[in-house]
Amino acid sequence: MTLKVSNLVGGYSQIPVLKNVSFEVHTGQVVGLIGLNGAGKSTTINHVIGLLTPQSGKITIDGITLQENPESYKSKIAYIPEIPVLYQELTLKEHIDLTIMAYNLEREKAWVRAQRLLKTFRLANKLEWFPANFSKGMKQKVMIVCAFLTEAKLYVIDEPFLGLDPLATRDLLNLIESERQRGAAVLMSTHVLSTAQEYCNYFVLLHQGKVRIQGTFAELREAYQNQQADLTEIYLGLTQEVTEHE
Amino acid sequence: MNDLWSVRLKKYQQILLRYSKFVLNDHFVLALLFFTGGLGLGYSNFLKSLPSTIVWWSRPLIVIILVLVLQLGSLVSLLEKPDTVFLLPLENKMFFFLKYAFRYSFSAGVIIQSLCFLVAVPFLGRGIHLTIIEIFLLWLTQLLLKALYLERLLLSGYNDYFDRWWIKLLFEFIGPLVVLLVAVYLSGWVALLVVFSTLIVVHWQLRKAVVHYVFRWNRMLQLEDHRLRSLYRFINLFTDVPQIKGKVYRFKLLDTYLPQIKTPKNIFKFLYWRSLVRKGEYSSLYLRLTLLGCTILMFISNSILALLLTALFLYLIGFQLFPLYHDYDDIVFMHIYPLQEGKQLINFRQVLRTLLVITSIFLFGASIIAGHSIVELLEIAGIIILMIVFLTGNFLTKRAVKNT
Repeated sequence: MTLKVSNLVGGYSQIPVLKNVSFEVHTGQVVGLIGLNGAGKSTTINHVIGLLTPQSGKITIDGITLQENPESYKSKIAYIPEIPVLYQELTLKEHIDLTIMAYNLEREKAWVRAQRLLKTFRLANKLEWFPANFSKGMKQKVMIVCAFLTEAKLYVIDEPFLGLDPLATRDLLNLIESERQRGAAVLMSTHVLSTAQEYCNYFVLLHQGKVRIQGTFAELREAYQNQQADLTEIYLGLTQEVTEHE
Repeated sequence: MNDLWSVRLKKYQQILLRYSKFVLNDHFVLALLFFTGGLGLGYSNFLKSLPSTIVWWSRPLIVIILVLVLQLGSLVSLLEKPDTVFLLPLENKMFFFLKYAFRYSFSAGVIIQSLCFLVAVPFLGRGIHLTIIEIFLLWLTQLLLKALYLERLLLSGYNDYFDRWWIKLLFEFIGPLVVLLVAVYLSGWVALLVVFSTLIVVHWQLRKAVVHYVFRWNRMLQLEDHRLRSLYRFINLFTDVPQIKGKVYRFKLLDTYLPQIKTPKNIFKFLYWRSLVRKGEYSSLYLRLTLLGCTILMFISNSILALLLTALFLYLIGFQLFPLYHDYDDIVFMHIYPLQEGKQLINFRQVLRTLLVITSIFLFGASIIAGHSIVELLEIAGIIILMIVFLTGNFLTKRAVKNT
């Protein structure tokens, strides 16, 4: 599986937010999309999942664009939004049923996986509840369960750690790691840089809608010319450099 | 305090004005016109059918109706949640604010009660043989009962004793019931005197409570919130009200009848039925219009009018359900899940058709009760089929596509 974003120009209106963004996500990779508020992380993600249409440039999954075959493109993606989105009138169980139906998964197998995930995130006894009334953190867990249930080829996760308790954060990171080993790819936007440094194996640094730099952590250190620097230092250093130049 | 009240009132009236445009839309006005027409006709027929002597049930009937009418309109306090923080220092002046609130609520009450009373006047004269003076006394009694109703709410804002269920029952149901029974069976003067003296006592209690008790912010906010919620819920039948996020009810017993998920083909069927059953936004509209249609059709013996009304109600119900098609547009997953295109419309059409068929069965049943001939019934069946085909056919496709 390869997600390929090439020369993407796009945004919400005629004025583009993203300027020539290019990067790739391959099987077995956890790619961190790093940037400050307003750097263009969520915009990039909205383009990848097809909520926004590129003004120019191309996004392909295994060589197919969304326009060419929407069903095949979308069936490869599972998405966890930054703010949980739930159906007001569906129970947790029905949310899972719906996901299974939408991705045309094998029912029994999917439910076994769902039960395991529900247990991990301590939701197993809440199947008959309306998740719309849950707390922020618990809603986020429902999103995680529904997404990871699909065994998608590409997980697109927007700011996954907001509102999660430490235990759930750890469980989510373990889950991401095991899915990576299964052969999935993960594109994750975050500004929790310390976690990103530890769990991502490739980084795309966005700044003011452009890719400032991309590469593995070692490559970033190389570019920053400091082998001891952590991701926060590198990020702040590189973005400040750009700001000063302007 | 005067300024604060007038600012609030202006804001409130602006909101009402804005929404009234949506509530009094063409469809609704048309339906209302038919409804009042039908009702007026029925009412005048009913009056004519009354014998010249007083029937045993006419007095209890009017008393029950007046007690029910009394429940219309609550205390409009226009308090807002942040007031508990920002107006806290003004707490001992709140009574002046509430006085304005009471004056406004009572004026609104007088209008509503008088209008309803006006409708009852012909029956009061013909059905229970009241004289003009007696009718006038009854009207005054009804207005004072409303004042009492509002005073209790005000009083409960200070003294929680007046919030007990039996006091509420006494002020809102039992008391009015007894007083009105006295008015129609014994003497209007006695009833009026009783209410008037009670009002004086209660008002004196209120004056005392304001001095001795602390203002119960939460109670008054709750009351206002409750009032606004039912107002918005009503308006929400016609247009989207941002303040209202319709409450969701499970209705667990109905779960077994809801469609279960089998294939990705009926994913929207799954969603639409759940939205209908649990969210109440559309179902309440559907149920009300169906019930209203049946009630009216039961009394329409003119076949042309019955045909027109059947068509009108099916059109109204179908048309008002169309927005349900877009109910899930805001949910990001509907755009991200690998769904086949076109299935949404197919599913929606099935759901709409089922709903319309159910309504049609009831409307047809009502027409049978109305006693039409076989030929007329066949005509009605014909118009039903035509309307369903029309509403779920190209018209729906065009409407649905137009709004996307």
